[in-house]
Amino acid sequence: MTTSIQASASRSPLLTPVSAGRCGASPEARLLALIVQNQLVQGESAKTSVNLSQEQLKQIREEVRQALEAAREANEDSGFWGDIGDVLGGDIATLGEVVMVAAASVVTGGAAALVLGAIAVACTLSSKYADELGIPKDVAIGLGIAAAVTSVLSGNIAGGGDVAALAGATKGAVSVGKGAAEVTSLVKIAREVKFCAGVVSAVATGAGAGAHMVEGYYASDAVDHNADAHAAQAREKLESMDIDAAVDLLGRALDRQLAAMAQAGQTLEANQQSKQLIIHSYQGIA
Amino acid sequence: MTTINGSTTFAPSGIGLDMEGQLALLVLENEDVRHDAAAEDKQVARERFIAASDKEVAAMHEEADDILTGAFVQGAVSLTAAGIQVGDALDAPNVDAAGREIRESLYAPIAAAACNALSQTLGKALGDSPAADDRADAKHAGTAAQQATWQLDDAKDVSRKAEERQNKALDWLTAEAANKASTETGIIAGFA
Repeated sequence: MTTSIQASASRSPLLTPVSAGRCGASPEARLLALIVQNQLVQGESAKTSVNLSQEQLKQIREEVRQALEAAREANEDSGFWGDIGDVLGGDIATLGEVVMVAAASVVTGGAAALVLGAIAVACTLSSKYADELGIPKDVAIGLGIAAAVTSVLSGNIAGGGDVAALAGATKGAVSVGKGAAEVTSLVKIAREVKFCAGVVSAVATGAGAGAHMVEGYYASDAVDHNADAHAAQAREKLESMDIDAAVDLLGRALDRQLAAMAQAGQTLEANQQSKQLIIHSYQGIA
Repeated sequence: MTTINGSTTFAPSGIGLDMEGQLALLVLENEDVRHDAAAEDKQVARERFIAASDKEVAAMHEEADDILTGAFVQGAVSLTAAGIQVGDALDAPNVDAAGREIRESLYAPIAAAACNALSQTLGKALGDSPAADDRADAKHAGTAAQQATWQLDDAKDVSRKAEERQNKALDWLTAEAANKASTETGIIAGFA
């Protein structure tokens, strides 16, 4: 920047040295001319500085715009993947768990499993939709853990020997009537449903986790771009400060230049008047 | 006009000036000192602004890193839980000689439930919490940068006012010189 300023200053036709040669002016006039010349140099420097800063400012503004645009896009992507993660890991996985618990209750036919299943479903739903229900975060986490525990217990009962009891009962019922066979097939269907729901729930949870990872990646990207935008905005502010300083310098240089010129005019006028008075007085004496 | 230790001193002895002229010079000197101090303040404020902005940006980048770490840890633990659940579901149940299902091991469901419960906690501990810390740091640095801008504005005001007073003092000196000149002219005219 300094080189450019010097180059610009040396090109200016206004900056020809006035004090080097004898131009017949009084010392005061030459001093004033020096001041004007100095202010012109400062003015030229300030103008060059303002021009350069304006160009840099344009570039920086473009950088800020691009960074903010990238951050906005990353935020949109993050929101999109977050929604997918919520649907997969939240709604679908929860639905799968609910179906799984219900099927387990049918398979077992036991009151304990049913109660546990109901508790698991209630806890799962409360935990998943804590925000909508206005449940505090800590309570929601506790509910989630309770849901997991009750789900494990009820599922275990479903997979356990209680099935045998139901099977025994149904076997006994076969001899009684036709309805018992239907109960057995219902248990089989429930077992299949429980298996499928378990797989779907697990896969949905996994896919939801993956989607949330992508969401986190884009969220991080958005913050990174925001940080870049902040850095560019800080540089923009610094450039604006430089421009302000240069404009101030230019204004002051112009003010001083005008003041010096006015002073020069007044001095010349005063000299002229003095000379005239002296001439008149000599004429009077003569 | 001489410069001592960076500050400008006008006509130390006030040679050839009356009392008012010397007072004007004193005002000029005083305002020049203030101007220099304001210029130093401006420089300091500018450096503070740069440092605070750098700190803010660095904290924001750290926040981004923490968000990414938290998301990946939470996702990895959730994926582990899902993997355990899938494996457990796909594992064919053991059947005894009578065709009855034997009670399954509790380890897999408990491990899956534990992973599921841990995933959010780990995500918060390794992601959200440090990210919030970094956000607070960034906010703090942003406030410091804002304070530096205010300091810069104050220094500019001081500098501007000092210049205004210098201009007034110079105007006063000019008027003094003009009065003196007109007096001298009057004396010359009187001699004539």
